[in-house]
Amino acid sequence: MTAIHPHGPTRVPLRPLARILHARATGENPDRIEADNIAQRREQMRDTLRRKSARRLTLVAALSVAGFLLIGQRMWAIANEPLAEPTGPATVVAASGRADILDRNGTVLAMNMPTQSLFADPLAMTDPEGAADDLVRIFPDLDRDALLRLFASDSHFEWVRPHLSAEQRQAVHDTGQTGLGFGTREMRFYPNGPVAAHLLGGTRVDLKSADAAEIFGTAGVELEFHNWLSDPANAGRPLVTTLDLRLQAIVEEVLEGGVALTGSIGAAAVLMHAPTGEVLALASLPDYDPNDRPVPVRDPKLAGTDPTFNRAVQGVYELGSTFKIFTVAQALDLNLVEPDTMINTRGPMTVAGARISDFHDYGPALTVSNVIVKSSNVGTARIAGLIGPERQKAFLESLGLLSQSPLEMPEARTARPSAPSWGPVESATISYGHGISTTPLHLAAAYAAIANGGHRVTPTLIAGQRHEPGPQVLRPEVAAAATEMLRQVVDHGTARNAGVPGYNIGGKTGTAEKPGVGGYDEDANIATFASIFPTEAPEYVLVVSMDEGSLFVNGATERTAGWVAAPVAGEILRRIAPLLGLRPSIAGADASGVDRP
Amino acid sequence: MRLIFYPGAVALVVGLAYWAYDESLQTRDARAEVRQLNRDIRGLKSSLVLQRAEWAYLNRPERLRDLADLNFGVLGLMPMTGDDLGRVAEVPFPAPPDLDGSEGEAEGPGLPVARADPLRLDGVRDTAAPQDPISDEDW
Repeated sequence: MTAIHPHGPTRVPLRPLARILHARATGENPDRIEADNIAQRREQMRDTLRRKSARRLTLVAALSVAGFLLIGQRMWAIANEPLAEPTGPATVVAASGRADILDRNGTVLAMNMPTQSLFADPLAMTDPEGAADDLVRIFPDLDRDALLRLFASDSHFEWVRPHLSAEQRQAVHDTGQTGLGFGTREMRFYPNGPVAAHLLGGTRVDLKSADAAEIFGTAGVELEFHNWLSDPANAGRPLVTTLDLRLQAIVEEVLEGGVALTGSIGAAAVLMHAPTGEVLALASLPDYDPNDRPVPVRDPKLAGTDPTFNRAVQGVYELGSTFKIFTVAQALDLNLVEPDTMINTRGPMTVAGARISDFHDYGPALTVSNVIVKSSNVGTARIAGLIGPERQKAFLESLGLLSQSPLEMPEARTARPSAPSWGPVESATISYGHGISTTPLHLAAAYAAIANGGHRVTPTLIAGQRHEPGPQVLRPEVAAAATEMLRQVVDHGTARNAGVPGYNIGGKTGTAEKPGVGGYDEDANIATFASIFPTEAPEYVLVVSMDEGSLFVNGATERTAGWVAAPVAGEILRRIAPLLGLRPSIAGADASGVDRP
Repeated sequence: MRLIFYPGAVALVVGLAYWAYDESLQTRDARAEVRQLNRDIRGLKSSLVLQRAEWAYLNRPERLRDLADLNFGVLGLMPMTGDDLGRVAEVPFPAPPDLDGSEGEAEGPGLPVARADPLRLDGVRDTAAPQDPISDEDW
């Protein structure tokens, strides 16, 4: 029997001659040998084919097993995936394009709102005249001729209106005019109108297409935090400011009343939480509606009438006698004087050729307390003489009065306090607030340092920060003594008009003549009142500054801060005290009001 | 053996094919549902935003002030000042219940009398200081 060769069978002849001969010799049928060989050959072929198909089947089986394993593994993986919000194009949930701005209580100051824009496709219009008529009927402020010119243009896309209300959209839709289309997009909305306008600033819309518009901050917090507000990573997370809308509204309302009563051309107010430097209210008049921010006036001469000018933060003014308390506080801190030390107030006084005199003659001498209470320039200048220019400058610097304010507003960086070269004359005038210009915000931060026991204050607008007390610039007992002097000013000094029954308020008035043509203008004053309250546990600082105000009282026109700014501040304090959780203390009454046996 | 194995395998393949097809249909339905839900969420979110805006607009200080002025005749609302903060003594508490019938008579009928009743004011704090039930801190 022929062995089956593993590598291709050797070709065996069907009728091998030797076997045929042998078969013939033995009388066997040689055909059987042939049949045998044919059968053998078939068997060989079958074996080969079987092995081949066996290999193929194994391969197919392996491939299918691998495929099923792959699918099974993937299914197992999907089944065990942690449940998560499906992502991808199917789940683009309308994320507000720009974060909201809230006040400290969560009230909305600025938010994004969906709106509709109206555009025209002039080439698709069948009845441009009819469409123009219909649109003018719906929007009376549109100009029919301008619309017709727009509709005559050879284009497929022209803006008609950047935002429509839902009712207006329906009205346009109901006209049935062809070639008018709507786009959905977002707009910035300031629900409170002009309240806190300067702080918020404003936005500008850059229309990209029918469905997309980019909103840019142009001023205030909107500009300062533009990148944060427009970062999609912050969508849904509002920017919480330290402002309190209720206090802001009251401050603005009263300030507006004060401006009307005194005929001021402008006014500013800052309300600050003294321990933290958080700004609770920041107002500037005249104001504007941030929903429709006017274009700032570029002419510096007209800056005073520009509604977008933020007087509280940008307005660099001589704030007058409000500075006297810094001179006295420093002298107390350096142990140069005590509150009852007598100071020579005989005027006029001459410093290096310059004459310094008082508003009234206060006699030969006053105690340090009374220098503040009566607001004696001569007395303060004498105290400044004890301190010396270098130490005075360093102290005002340490209060933050000589550098730009760190408040988070672009406007704050544009205002730099100005002080001239610091000689003996300047030292004397700066001691009572002349020859140095700062903003009301700077003054508020400096008064906050007195109110909080002598720690330097960094004003801020952003809530939720940790506040470490700043470096000590005054000893706590000196700060308390200065606060007590300020209380006496309101009690029986120049700021009696700021008094509110039941509350202990400390403050200092300051009246400075505005620089006019060739020197100071006598009839144009900046009247400022800076206050600390409640004096028994100082917590808040309020600065009110009125520009060119006057009041006709008792037959005379009064322009001093005691008449122009102090009453406004007093009214603000009267209104905000209960909201700040301050209760009036009634002299002589048992605070609890409970009858005790 | 073959009689069981082959039909079984075929049935298995058919079954798996049906299952896979069904899964794919269900996936398609689920995707459509997700799309619809997302559309709904978008719509609801946008109306939520609109309502928030409307609420903020209706509550703007200027409008509330005007409303208070307009309805002064009915409401008589004035800006809040320190004078509006009351004292505990001004709260008219009812007279204590007459338990033994002897003390209550002494006070007689008339206006409610203010009295220090620790339990009514601030139970938690008053248990700590029963001798001096109301102090400034209670305000």
